[in-house]
Amino acid sequence: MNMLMRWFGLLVLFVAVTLAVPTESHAQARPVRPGQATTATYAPVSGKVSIQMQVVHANNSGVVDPDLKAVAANFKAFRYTGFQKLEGFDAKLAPNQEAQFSMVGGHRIKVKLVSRDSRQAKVRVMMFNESGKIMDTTVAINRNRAFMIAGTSYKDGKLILPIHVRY
Amino acid sequence: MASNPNLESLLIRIRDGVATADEFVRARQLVEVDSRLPEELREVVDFEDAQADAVGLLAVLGHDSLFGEVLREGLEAELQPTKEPVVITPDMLDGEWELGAVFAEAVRYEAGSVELADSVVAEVGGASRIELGAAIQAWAGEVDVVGSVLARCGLATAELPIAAAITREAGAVDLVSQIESELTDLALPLAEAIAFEAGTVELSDAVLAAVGGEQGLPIAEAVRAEAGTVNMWPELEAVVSDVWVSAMLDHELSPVAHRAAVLRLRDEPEMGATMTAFASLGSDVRAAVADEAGETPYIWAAVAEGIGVEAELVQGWDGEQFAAAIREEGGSVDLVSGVMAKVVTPQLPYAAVEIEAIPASANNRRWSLSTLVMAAAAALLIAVLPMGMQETQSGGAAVVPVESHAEFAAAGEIVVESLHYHEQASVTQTLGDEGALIIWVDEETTL
Repeated sequence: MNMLMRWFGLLVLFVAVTLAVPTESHAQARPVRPGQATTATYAPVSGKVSIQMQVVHANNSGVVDPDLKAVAANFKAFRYTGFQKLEGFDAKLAPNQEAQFSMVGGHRIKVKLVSRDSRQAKVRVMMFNESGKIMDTTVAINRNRAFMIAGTSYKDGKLILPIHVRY
Repeated sequence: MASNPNLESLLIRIRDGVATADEFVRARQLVEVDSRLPEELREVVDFEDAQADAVGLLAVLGHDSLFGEVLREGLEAELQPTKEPVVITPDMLDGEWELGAVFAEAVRYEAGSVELADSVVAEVGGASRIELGAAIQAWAGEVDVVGSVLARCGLATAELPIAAAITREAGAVDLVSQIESELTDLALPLAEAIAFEAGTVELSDAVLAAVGGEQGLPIAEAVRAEAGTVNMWPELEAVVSDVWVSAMLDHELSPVAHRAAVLRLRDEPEMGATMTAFASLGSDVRAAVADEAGETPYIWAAVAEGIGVEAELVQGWDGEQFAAAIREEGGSVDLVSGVMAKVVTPQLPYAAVEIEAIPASANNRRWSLSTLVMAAAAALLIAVLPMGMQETQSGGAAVVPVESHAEFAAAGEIVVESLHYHEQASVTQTLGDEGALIIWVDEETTL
């Protein structure tokens, strides 16, 4: 019966191979399996992300707050001569957590950490005034980097909000 | 040499067991030179098992199907319970016929994201063909690789429903990542809560297919339906409900989340009463202070200023006018006890509720008895302190030490993925002189 089994084996092999080869349409519908990355991915990281926001008053006083000397070069574009640090906020966030800050001028900032990996974090920032939400943005920013939101009027000047994402 | 018209008749006689010794010799000679047969086959056929070889050769020559009577009888004989079962061992699968790899790949393809192949291969060791088919059916649910093979042999087995398969796999099947992808619009730690509750469980494509791609609540229902004993929804509600209430007050819930919050409130009337009490607290304080201190316009805004809540939400607030009015009318009258007696109701919590999932914000806007005391105290201070008091920072938020050094993201280190703004504002992206990204918000634009 060995020969019979060999014939049977050849038959099963043929059928199995036939079934294992997907048709084109079926192959397109094939789901991506876990771990089967289609694009470059970065390792997840644990721990919370520190979202630090400063409130800087840009004015024409000609005086630069000593605390801001390290970053004042980035304020040249605002065409003001004086920069005073008014407030600072710091929130430690895990993914999908959010925090909100009320700042001078009656504005409120809500910050949400959408996600983060070993390379960058995705942060959603919303700005509110007395009428409600006026701006809603999501940025993907490399870790330990900052960006700025600015333009709100305050006492003959503007407010600059450097937002630093540290982890 | 051309085909020999006598080979088939000789093979039929051999298959039927009536061939003579001369016919065996003749058949072997003809096989060796018959160009219709593959050369490799001609070399290996030795008629050691003459009937089986005859059946196979007749099938190759197109004279008979491989499921000829003899083969069918042979298969049936092999599958008789009284016979020693045909054992397909891992060695056989992975070695001589390389069927292990074939089956594994076929099962992987059919199973999609559900990892079944290892389980199937682990189960087939020592199993008969029937057991092999059943094992694959059991692990794969709707997957029907071997079922197809067996069906062609008339040995098909019933499919198991996918729900049973997922329940069977519930410990290893994983629900998290795809639920997260479905719920990314929720401004809530819902996905994280799911991850916490479900561990490494991952939702199969079959579950998503069952919910028809819908988001939110249907997923929870589908998980219940498909996963059987996995029932995480009550825990999720317990984790996120307080956050939902907060977000609901800010009108920031997505439609799906809003629906869930409404359902939750409907089931918990006490929470609704508490929310109502919060919502009316401002007007209650305003009315109570007015009762105690006389007509004092804009009192709520001043109280809000004192305790660090959103004074900007009060239209027409003028703190200076308020303070002057209070000083003029109230003098050093103590307003606290009267105000507190009127605004504190059973519906209001008597202590701040800690929500572990949300980090403490720099300015906690939530009300508690302590904040009420602060509110009254702030009003009292405004009433009794001498004129000339220095203006405090708005919002009441303390300036916390924040590292001033900041390395701004250069081009390529930051991407603005979305940017929305109110129609009465103008928002643009620009770069500073050092290349830092600036999102410029101009609220004074009149369109």
